[in-house]
Amino acid sequence: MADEGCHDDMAGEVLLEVQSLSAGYGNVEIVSGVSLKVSEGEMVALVGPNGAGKSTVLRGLAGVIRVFDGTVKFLGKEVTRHPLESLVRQGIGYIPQGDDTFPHLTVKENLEMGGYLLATNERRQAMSHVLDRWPQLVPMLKRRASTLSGGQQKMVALGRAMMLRPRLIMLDEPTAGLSDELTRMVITDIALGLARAGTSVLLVEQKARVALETADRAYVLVNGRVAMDAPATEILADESMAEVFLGGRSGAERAG
Amino acid sequence: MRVRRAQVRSVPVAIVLLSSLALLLAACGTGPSSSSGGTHKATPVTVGVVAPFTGNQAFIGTFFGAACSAAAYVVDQAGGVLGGKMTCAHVDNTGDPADAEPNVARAIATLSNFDLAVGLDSATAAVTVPLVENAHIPLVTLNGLSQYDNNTNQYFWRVEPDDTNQGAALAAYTLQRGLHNVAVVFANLGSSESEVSGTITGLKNLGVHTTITLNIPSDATSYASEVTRVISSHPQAIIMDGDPQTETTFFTQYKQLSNGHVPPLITTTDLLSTSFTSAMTKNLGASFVQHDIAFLGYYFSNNATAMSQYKNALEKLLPKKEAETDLTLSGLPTEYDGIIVAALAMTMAHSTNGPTYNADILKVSEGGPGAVVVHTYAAGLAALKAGKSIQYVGVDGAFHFNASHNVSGQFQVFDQTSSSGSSTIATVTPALVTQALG
Amino acid sequence: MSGLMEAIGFGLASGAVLSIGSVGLTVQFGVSGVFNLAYGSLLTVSAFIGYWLVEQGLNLWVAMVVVSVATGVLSLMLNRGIYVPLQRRGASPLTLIVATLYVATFIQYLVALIAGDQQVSFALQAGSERSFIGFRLTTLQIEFIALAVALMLAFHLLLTATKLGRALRATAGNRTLARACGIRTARVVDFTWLVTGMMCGAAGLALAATTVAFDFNLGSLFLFYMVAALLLGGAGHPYGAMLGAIVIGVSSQVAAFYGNPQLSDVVAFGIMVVILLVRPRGIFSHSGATSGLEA
Ligand SMILES: Nc1ncnc2c1ncn2[C@@H]1O[C@H](COP(=O)(O)OP(=O)(O)OP(=O)(O)O)[C@@H](O)[C@H]1O
Ligand SMILES: [Mg+2]
Repeated sequence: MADEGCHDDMAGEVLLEVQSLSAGYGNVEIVSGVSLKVSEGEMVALVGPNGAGKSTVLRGLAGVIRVFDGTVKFLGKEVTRHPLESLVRQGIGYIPQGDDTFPHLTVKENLEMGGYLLATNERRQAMSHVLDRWPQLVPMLKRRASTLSGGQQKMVALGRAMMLRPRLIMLDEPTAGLSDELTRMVITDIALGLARAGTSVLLVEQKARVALETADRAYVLVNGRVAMDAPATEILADESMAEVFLGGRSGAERAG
Repeated sequence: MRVRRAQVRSVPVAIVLLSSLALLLAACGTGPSSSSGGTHKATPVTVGVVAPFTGNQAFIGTFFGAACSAAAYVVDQAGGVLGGKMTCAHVDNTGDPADAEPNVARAIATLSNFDLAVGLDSATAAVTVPLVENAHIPLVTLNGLSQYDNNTNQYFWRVEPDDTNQGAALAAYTLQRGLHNVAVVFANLGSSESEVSGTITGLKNLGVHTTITLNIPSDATSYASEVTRVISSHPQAIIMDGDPQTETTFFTQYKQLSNGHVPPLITTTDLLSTSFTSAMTKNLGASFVQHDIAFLGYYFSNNATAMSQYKNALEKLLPKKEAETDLTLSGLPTEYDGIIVAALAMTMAHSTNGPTYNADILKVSEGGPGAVVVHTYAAGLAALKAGKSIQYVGVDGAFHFNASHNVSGQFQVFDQTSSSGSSTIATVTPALVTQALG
Repeated sequence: MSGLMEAIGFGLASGAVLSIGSVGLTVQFGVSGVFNLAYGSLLTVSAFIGYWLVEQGLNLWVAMVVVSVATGVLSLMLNRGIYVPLQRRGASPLTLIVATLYVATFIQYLVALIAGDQQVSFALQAGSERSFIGFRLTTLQIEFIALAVALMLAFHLLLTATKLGRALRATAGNRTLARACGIRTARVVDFTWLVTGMMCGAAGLALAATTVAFDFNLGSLFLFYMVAALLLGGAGHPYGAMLGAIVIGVSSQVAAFYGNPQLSDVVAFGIMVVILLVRPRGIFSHSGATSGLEA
C-alpha cells in the first residue's frame, strides 16, 4: 500500500484515464471493460499473449476502430471516439504495429510528414531536436525508409512521432522483429528515456520480461480483459502471471 | 420511304410488342373462314411455315405466321388455288437444328398437301433445306447464309438478296456514276464479311480502281491515322458501310484533316436516319449531306395495289396496333410476295404438286416478252385465265432469280434532299449486280 | 516517315485526353483505395452535360469549367454517399468493385434514359489544321494537348510543392499513419474525389469534342483504355498513368497507320501485355506495394 502511494506521489498529473473501454471491429467486441491510466513522466506497459487484444486497446484509444462503450480522458478532457488526427493535435503520439513508416519517402520526408502540423520554421526546429536525440539518423536522411534495417526504421518511426513532441506516446510493439540487444535498447533507453524527458509512454509489448523490468507500472491483458494491474515488478514476481504469458517471456528470448 | 435494313434493327422493340401475340396468331394461322366454291374436285394447299414457334426466338415464327396468313387470306378471297383452300401450318424448328430435323421430317410425313414451305432461319437451314429438297417441296426462304450463294438445290428459292449482293451493288453504283478511283472503308459494326467481299470483288470485276481498303473498328474515338491513309490515296469517292456514329466521326475527322475537301460518300440505307443526317449536317454542312451522300438500299417497288392488299389483309387478321407494327417489318412483305408467286405458279401449272409447278415460279417472277404485269393474286388469275403470261410485281417489287435461285436484287440509290425526305437518284439493275459478282 | 510523325502526333492528341482521364482514375484509386469503375459513366455524364451546354451556345472552355465542377461534385457525392459508407462497414475490396460496377451500369443507363440511346454530335469548329515538326493537328487538338500538359504540371506542383500534396501522398501511402501525423484524411479523400472528378469531367468533354459523334457508351468504352493506361503505369502512379496513356495513344495510332486498323487496339494492348510481363507492377512501380503517389 505504502509503496503504491509513494509511486503516485512520484508521478505527476494523470494524462490518460481510460474507464471500462470496450472496442472491436464491425459488430465484434474484442476488448471489454478495460480501465487504465498513464500519468505524466510514467512509462506504462500493456502486456499479454498473442491475440489478447493489446493492439485493439491502442486502436480504440487512438480512435481508428469502433468503441462500443467506456470513456477516454486526456488531460482531464473527454476524448472518447475522437478521431486520431484530432488526438494528435491534442498531444498524443501513436505508432501502429507493423507499417510504421512511409516506405517510399526518405527519412527526412518521413520526419517532415511527422511535422505536418507545424509551420516551416517550427518544423525545422523539431527536426534538429529529433536529430539531436537520434544522431544515427543524420547519415541516412536521404535514404528511402524501405531501404533501412528494422532497427533503423523503428528509429525513423519514433523520430516521426516525436516531431510534434507529444505529451503521451502510444507504442504498439516497437520491438517486433528486433534482436534482443536492440529490443533492450528500444525499451530501456529510448522508451524510458522519453518518459523521463517529458513524453509519457504507453507501451504494448509481447516481450513481457524486458517491458516489465523497465516500466513503472503494467497491465496484463488476457482475452480482452485486464487480468492484473500493478507495479511492473510485482507482476514480474507473480508466479501465476508467468503462466499466463509464457509465450511472452520465451518470445523475448527467441526473438534474437 | 421505307428503309430496309434499318428496320431490322427495330425488331427487338417489335419483339416486346408482339411476343404476346403468338397465341392469337396461332389461332389466326389456322386460316380465315372463306372456303371456296368447288369443294368436290379441288385439293387444298398447305403452306408450311418453318420457323421457331417456341423458345426464345418464337417471335420469328409469330411474324412469319402472320405474313403467311395474310397471303392465304388474299388467295382465298380470290377463290383459292385451283379452287382449293390455302392454309398455313406452323412447323416449329425451335431455332435449333436438333429439333428442326425431326419436326420438319414429321411435318413432311404427316401434313397433307404440304406443297410449299416458307421460312427464315439461318441456324436450321442446313437440316431443313435438304429435307424439303428431297421431298420435292418448293421452299421460299429468307435465310442469309453465304453457303447458298452458289446453290444447286432445285426447289430452293431465296427471295431476299444477300449481303454479297448489296456489296456488289455498291460497286455497281460506283461504276454507274462514272467513278474510277474509290476508297473502301468498312467498320465491324454495320457491315458483314460477305458485303465487304461483294464490294471488293465487284469493284475488281467492273474495273473500278480501289485506292485503299480499310477495315476500321467501330465507335473509336479517333480515326486520324486511318483518315490520313484514305486522304493520301486520293479517292474520288468513299464507299463506307459502318454504324452512323462511326461514319460521323470518320467523316468529321476527314474534313478536319483535309482542309475541308471531302469526297462524296457512298453508303447504305442503314444510315438513312435523321440522327445521322443531322449529325452530318452539323459537321459537314447541308450541301454535303444533300448532294454528296448516296444511300443505297434494296429496291422496293412499293407497288400501291400490292401494298394496299397486303395491308388490308394484315388489318383484317390482326388487331390494329399489331398490324401497324407488322407493316413496318422488313422480310414479311418478301415472304408474302413469295407465297403469292408460288400460288400463281401452281395456277399456271394447273397443279399444286411441287415438281410440276416449281419451274413456273421462275416464269411468274421473270415474266418475259409479252407478259402482263400483275400486282395482285386476283389479277394474276384473271390474266392466266385469259391465256396470257404474267409477271408478278408485288409489295417488294419483282423477284429476279439467278442461276442459283437467289434473287439478285434491284437496288435503289437515294439522296437526302431535305431534312424531311429522300429521293431516288439512281437504280442499280440486277444485271449490273450480276456482272459485278462475276 | 512523315506518315509516322503524323501518326505519332495523332497518338499524342488522343493520349493527352486519355492521360487526363487515367491520371484522375489512378489517383482516385491510389488515395482512397476504391477502384471506381463508375468513373467511365461519370465521363459519359460530363460528355452529355458538356454537349448540352455547347448546344445552348456556351463557349467550349466555359462549358469545360462548368462540366468539371459539376462532375467533381457528382464524384464527391458518389464517394460520400456510397463508397465511404460501404468501406466504413468493412466491405471487402471485391464487394467494393462490384458496387462500383453496379453504379457504373446504373449511371450509364440513366444517361441513356435521359439523353436517349441515339448518337449525338458536336458541331464544333475544330479549327484549322496545322503542321509542325511533322505533326498535323487541329487547333482543338493542340489546345487539348496544352490542357493536358497544364493539368499535369499543376498536378505535379500540387503533389510536390504544397502541403495538400504532402497530405495526399501520406494518405495514399498509409492512411492510419497519415492520421497519426495529424492529417485529416477524410478531407483529403473528399478533395481527391472532387479533383479527380473534375479531371474526369474535363476528359469527358475533351473526348466528346474530339470524337464528335458519341452515345451513352462513350465512357464505358473509354474506361477500357483508362484502365489499361493505369495498369501500364502501375496502379496509383499518376506519372505512370500519364506515360501509359501516351504509350497506348501513340501505339494504337501508329498501328492504325501501318497495319489493319481493326487490329490497332490489339497491337496497343499487346504492347501493354509485353510491358507488364517485364514489369508486372507497371512502368513506375517500386518493389513495394504501396501507392505511387509517394514516389
Ligand atoms: N481488423 C480486424 N478485424 C477483425 N478482427 C480483428 C482485427 N484485428 C484484430 N482482430 C482480432 O482481434 C483479436 C485481438 O487482436 P489484437 O491484434 O488486438 O491482438 P494483440 O494482443 O495485439 O496480438 P499480437 O501480440 O499478436 O499483436 C484477435 O482475435 C484478432 O483476430
Ligand atoms: Mg498487436
